[in-house]
Amino acid sequence: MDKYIVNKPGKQEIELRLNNEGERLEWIGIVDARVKGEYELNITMSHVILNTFGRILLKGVVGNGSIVKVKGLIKIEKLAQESDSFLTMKFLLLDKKSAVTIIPELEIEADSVKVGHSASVGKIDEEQLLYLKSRGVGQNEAKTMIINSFMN
Amino acid sequence: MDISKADKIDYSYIGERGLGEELIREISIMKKEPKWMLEKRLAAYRIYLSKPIPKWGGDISPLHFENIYYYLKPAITEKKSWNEVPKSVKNTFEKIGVPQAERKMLAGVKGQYDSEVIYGSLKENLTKKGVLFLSMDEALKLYPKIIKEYFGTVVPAGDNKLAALNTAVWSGGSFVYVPKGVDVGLPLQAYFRINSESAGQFERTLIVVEEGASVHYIEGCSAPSFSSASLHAAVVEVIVKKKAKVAYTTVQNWYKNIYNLVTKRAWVEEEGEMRWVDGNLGSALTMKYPSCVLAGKGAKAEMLSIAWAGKGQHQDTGAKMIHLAPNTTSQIISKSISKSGGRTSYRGMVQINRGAIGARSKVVCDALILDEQSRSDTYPVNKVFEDDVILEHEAVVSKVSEEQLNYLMSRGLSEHEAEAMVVNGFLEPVMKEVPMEYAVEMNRLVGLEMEGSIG
Repeated sequence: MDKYIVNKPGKQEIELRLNNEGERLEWIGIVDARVKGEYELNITMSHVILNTFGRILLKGVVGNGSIVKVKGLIKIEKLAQESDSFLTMKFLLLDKKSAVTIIPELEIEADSVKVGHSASVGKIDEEQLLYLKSRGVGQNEAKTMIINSFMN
Repeated sequence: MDISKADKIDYSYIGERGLGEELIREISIMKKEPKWMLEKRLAAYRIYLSKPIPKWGGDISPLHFENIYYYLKPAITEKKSWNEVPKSVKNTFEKIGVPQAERKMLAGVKGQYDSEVIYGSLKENLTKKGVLFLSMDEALKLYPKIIKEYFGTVVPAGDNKLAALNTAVWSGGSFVYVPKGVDVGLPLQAYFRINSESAGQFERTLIVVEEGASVHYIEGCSAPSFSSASLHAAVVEVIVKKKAKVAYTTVQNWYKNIYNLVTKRAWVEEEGEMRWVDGNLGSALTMKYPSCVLAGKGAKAEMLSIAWAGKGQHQDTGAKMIHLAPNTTSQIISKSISKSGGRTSYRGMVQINRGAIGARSKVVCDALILDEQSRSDTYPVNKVFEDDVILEHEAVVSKVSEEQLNYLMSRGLSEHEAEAMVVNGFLEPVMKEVPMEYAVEMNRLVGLEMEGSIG
């Protein structure tokens, strides 16, 4: 599946609309904020008609003093009954100079729906790092390996 | 007797509608306040004028600020014994169970009508241990030093427009002081009632809990049914010292013409624990986001909330957790239900500052939408400035599933009973954390709301 990749500072707006009955949409985005700068990404997924399915997966790494702000809004309009929609956000902070703000939002005006989101922020798993180092991989290389697999 | 009817009580002072410096001076003179408090009020009034009405959140346009009575003083002064309380007021208290509750399970009680506290008591053994449970007005007279030290330190007047308004015209509210190492045991309860049409209630509550001490404070709110909108703009400040524990429970059942715009915040020091339990069932619009500033190492905070929005109601509620120190933890569990065109919005913030190494925060907000006219929103902001942390947020919005209903109906429940049972099950994780008497009360209120909306 295609991925939407953000790897340069700047602001981006993404509008996704599900306006055909029975439409399915899966969208994957990667924010690679290892080049220092300010990043902003606003995604809106609107369900406007009966019986649509949407999934957003957004993953990101933030390092070298970058500042990232990501907003993901799922909007279910009045006529969009039977919508099934979910947004996932996962971010890794790579150092203490960097910062991330995640804003997963929902606006729901139909009742017969299944909608949700989950979001998390953390750092690189120490155990994974230790494991790779015990296998003779250097600290930086191990980090890069973990980051690459996280974003794939 | 019906608590949605106004009680007949006399007022010794009814200010003009609307607000000006004159009225603020008058309030301060009537209360015989120290000069510094008047100065605080006037400074806050200027901040209030300079700040615009917030553009975000709910619609407060039906509320006409110039039409509100900012100070209404009941003719009765605070009574220390139940026998002295006037009959009409007694009836309302009886109806909501204050005296019975007091006898059985409370360590102390305050009752406030409009602008002033009119009934108060505290168990003798607690007085002996140095616990203070007073109206803020009385506390300012008797303990001006403590008030001056803490007043406005957690919620400064400039925090937001309504906090500035409260600081300018505050009257009543509770002051709780728990000395080092004292465990208050039974809860302290305050009951707030707006009894007059177009009345504003601006109570100010300050809770200071010293090292290793603990207390549970409970407040309930009600108002009669009037046609024009009233305003409740309280400020609550809680100071949780090292290793102290505070729980603060609110059962908000304002009548559906009250605009409930409240600022509540706790400052939590090293290994202190703060827990907000918030049930919002009434009011036209509630905008309330109880907060915790986790200022000391290992401080803990928790927020459990239930919001119910029926016809014409908007519950814009949530919580804020600000992590300033290492190994601080916070948890927010929010459950909301919208029905008959009601709207619930979860609005919250978790912020983890640099240096808050090892901080953890978890937010779960679940919403049920019971019909197609209703609406639910989730607006959380999560800011992370420290890498060595774990932050998790999740939300799910759904309706009562046909499967669940069919199953329960196949077991002989009516559709209505089945729906009520699913709703109660949905609320269970929060209800089980609420003291039993209040869980029963909230269950009853939810039951009434569900019934009222059928047919």
